Amino acid sequence: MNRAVRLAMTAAASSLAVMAFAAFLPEGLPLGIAVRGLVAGGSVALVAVGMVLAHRASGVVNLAQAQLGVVGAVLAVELRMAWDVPYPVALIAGLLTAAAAGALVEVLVLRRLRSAPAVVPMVATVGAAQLLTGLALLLDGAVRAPLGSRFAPPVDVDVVVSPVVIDGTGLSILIAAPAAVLGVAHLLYRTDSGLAFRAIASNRERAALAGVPILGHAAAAWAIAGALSGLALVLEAPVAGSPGATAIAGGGAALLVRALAAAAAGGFTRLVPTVAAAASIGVVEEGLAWSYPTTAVVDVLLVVAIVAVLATRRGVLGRSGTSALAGWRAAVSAPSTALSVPAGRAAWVLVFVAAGAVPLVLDAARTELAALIVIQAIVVLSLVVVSGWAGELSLGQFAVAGAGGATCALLYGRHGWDLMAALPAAAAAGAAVLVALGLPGLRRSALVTAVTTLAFAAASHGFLLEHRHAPWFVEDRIARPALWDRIPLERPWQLYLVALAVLAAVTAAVVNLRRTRAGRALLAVRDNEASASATGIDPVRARLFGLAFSGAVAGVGGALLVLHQAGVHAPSFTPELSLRMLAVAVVGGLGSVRGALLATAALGTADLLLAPEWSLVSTGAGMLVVLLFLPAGVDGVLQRLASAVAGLSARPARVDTDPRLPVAP
Amino acid sequence: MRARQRGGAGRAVAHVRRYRVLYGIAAAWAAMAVLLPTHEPASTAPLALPDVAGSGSGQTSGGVASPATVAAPGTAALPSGAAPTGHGAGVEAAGHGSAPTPAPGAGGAAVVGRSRTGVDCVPGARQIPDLAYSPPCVPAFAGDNGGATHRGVTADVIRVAVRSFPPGVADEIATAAGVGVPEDERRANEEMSDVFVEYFNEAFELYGRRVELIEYPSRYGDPLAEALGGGREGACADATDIAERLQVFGVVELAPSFAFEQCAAERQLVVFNANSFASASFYDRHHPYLWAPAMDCERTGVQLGEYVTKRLLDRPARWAGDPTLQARDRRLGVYVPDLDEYQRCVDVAAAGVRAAGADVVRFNYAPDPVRLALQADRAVAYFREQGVTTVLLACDPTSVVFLTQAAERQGYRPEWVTTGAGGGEDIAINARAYERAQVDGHLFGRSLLASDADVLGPDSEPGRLYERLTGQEAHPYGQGFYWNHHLILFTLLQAAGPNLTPAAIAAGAASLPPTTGAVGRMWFGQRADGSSGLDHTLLDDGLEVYWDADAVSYSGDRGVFVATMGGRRFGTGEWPAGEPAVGSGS
Repeated sequence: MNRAVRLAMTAAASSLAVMAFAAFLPEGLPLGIAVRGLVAGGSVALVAVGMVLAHRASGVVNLAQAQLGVVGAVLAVELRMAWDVPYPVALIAGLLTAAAAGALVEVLVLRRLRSAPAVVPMVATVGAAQLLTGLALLLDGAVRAPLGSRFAPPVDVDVVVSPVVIDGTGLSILIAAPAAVLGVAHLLYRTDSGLAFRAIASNRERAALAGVPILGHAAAAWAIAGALSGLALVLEAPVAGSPGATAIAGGGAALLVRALAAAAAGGFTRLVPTVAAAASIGVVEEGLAWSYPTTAVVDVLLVVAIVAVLATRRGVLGRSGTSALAGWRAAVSAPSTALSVPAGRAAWVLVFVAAGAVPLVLDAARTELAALIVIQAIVVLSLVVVSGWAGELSLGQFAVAGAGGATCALLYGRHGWDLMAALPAAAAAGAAVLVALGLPGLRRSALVTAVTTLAFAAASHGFLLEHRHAPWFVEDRIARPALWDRIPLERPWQLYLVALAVLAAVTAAVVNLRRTRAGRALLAVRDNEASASATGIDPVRARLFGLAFSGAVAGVGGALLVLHQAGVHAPSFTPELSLRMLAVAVVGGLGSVRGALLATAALGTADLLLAPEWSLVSTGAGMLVVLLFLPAGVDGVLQRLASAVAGLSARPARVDTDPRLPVAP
Repeated sequence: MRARQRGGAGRAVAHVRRYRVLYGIAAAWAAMAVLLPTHEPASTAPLALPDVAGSGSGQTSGGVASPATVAAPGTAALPSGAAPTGHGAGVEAAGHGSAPTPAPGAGGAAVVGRSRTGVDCVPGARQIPDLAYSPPCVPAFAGDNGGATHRGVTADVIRVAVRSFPPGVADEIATAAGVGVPEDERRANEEMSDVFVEYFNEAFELYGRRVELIEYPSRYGDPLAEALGGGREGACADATDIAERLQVFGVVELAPSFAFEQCAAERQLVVFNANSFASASFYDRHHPYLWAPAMDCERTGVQLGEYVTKRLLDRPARWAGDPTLQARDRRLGVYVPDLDEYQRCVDVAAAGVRAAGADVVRFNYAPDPVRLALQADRAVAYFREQGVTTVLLACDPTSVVFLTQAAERQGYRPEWVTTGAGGGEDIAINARAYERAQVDGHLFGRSLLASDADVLGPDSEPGRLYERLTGQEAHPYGQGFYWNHHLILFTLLQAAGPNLTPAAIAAGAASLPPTTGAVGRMWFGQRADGSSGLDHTLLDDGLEVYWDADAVSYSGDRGVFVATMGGRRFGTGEWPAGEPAVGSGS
């Protein structure tokens, strides 16, 4: 079919879908609101198109796309506000910096991971995102703009489109976003480089054999992606209001979720559906805001709409999702068998005993935060089960923990249940939620579960775990009990030790799961579903069990967090935290229990000791170092160390030889 | 059939045998839950508040103090089980040296004696005669103050932490919007704070002790997250650090935060300048740890509802900038952050308005600094579409900057009404950053604040005091920032008596009589609904103001809020009916 016809059909279909949606809005969708939606969609489109470019060039789902441009954007805004550099000069400097950041991520990180399973570079982009956001905040902190200085848009014109006025910022986006997207389309479809890009996207090996310089094109694609992200953030900067706000806007989950949804709608490969989806998302968001004047409600409804669209479009996540995560199951490192060895068991006991002494060396405040890290370790262990062993990608595990925690608080705090009865209920709630979230993806791809869990995380944070919006479910204040009405949990060290005991129990349960029939079935399905089926294992049942077990563990972690926080507080369950927990699990070695625990301890300690921006920089850089140079994660390092120690201590076997035989030269 | 039954039984046995460990654990767990219950402690039991001066048994006549030492520690103000959950162990300092000598005036008897400031403590005398808000005179104390009566208290010192944040993104956004605090003003605030603390240590009766303020730059807190209603992990860690490492009695916050206040109360730290505009139930839940200089949000809600009903409803919006809107009867809109406490405030006000047969169009914005401008833009379009003539500003001043800018862009010129609920929307230095064409002649409403000159100027109480103490004229804005914090801190410490505990602070607060001055009536003795009983916020009334962009303030800046009706202030149920006299001056 002619490309123009396809384009027209896509535009028509999107418009029809939006109009159908508008028909259900109580306040309708006036033209001005739709135009403002296109403005919002313009920024999303720039980021999503960058995501598509990066994916086409490298086959990576780029979770750092919004952040590729954040350092450049902050630089541009600082140049303008602090030194009054002319707008075009500041913009060019920002875009060049953003492009350089994109290219550097590709050259220094992704290129080295090109033979790794697809999920590893994807997680590496999470590390890159943290690093870039941290650098942007440091840059913001280094320069202080004078009082009252503003970052004005390049166009100082207001246009009335009833019932709103589109200002200079909006007009800039309406002009620049389509121009940039058309430029990318021209590059892809009208130039030799574009032909090469498409060849790479179609079949990397064949393109390489045909002499296409894959690496150079990949770097160029990431540079363009960085520049697109930078452009989006610079254009939005007058709305954000300051360089720091620009840094946060670039690093926030809101932009990522929208851009990810748009790129997914285009299968991470096709420009037109991606742009159409981005525009639709913007219009839908503004339409919702017009009818429901509560931003939190809008955020949640938007996420629900995105998931509904993705879930109902079978082709969207099926193929591309599978290709993006094709190596996921293979990426899982060998499960730890340390507890099967008596010496290993003794080592575990020693580790936990040593961890129990932590309150002796930390002050009370740090002990309190250390208890938080222990609780996070429980959630990371749940990720080891669901993502490492069951092969389902959960991007919202902390929200699952939140569901468990809220259930515990509700039953224990409001309905007077015994804590020991509320805890299993929390586990059951976590299990039920994760099973429900995993069901749509069971027969499709891991990316479906990724999107549903990420959406759940966003919805939980903005709505379900907010006392104001869900008072029937959220108990925002509970009193910490005395265990068995005897052992108080008032002091930080007491809470820490209880959390540590629960972590020890969960660790034992998880390690034992690996040795049970159910655990072996999980791994069998993960490694080869067809072979597992042939041996009589029901793959769906096995995965459901994995989801339920993982959800239960997360639920227990959430219950502990609620006790730690003395109530349910939605900001403790952010989507960013869920992403971070996944990154920690990957750094630990994905399927490794001890790796997960060590990684949580290491990254948690960095959080404890460093200022937030330096913490972002160090954990981001740390993740990249681990993924680049220690591909099996922390667990891989441990295994190599163990092998080395074993090699040193092993004695060569004594061989008696006949002295009459000639000595070998 | 039997074979099948045997098979079924066999399978059951095999099943149980296979999962015997799990069944064992489950059975043990159930037995533990039954035999060794773990229930929520009864610390959330309903709170009984102490009587207050002028309302019952604890009444003090003539304004002479009855310091809280009359109450045995931990008995008068703090019913058993009323303490929030917390980190209480170690809070009560071990080894009280001896039972403290009761303060003069114990039992509410008339007291005759001379205060350390040289004032004869006759009924009605103030501890510091020059200060309208001075607590009643207390004769100079001589005797045993009980020594270490609580964590952070010794025989000589009361340790109080001052929690602050380094400038962050939220300050940066406010600064860019024009409502930030300049660096030289910060420094002036700090210098003047030292002078006042030194003086108050001498002038207030602290029963042989002095207040030692300890700077605490936040180690774990995230100012932006806390401003957005989150950041509890870091705030709690800060509170733990302050309580356990610094070992202080209480805290003064330079950036009020709900999360930190909750955590501080849970750790039995007294916060002397808690967040204004939290609900009364928020303070009650954290009794006796949170005390605020302004007004709780229920009272604000009740008074705002009354103000709107009596002063705005059923009349044309004559102060709107748009002539078409001027001709219409007022239709109200309110812009409010989507945070529990603020929403509760507006719920109360809206209920009052609804009772009068009107309705309020509400826009709940996410207090996310990155999206403030975007949401302001949406809200303006929404209000205009809904026919709103009068926008109630229950929001932060940065949002008002964005709202008025968006309104100007969109050609929407309503009446802008200050509510006293937003936390600074009615402060002149903020209003100067609003879009002038939008607010000049169109911004008015209820305010809690007195005129700048009365609070900040050289002729204000703190201004005069500073000049008397140092011989120098104060920085134009330097007096105001710490003044209220210090005044409430020292007033409560004096009122608590020698046996200083959080419970004694509560009893002391209840014993204080109402005081009235330029900033209105201050009393801990009246609940939000006007009934008598301990509340945790000082201010009881408000006044009506309008914005005069051409008037010159005492500091020489152009633009001030001018009071109507001669600056008369009104408490709950006292607002007169009638159209706001915008432009009339006082």
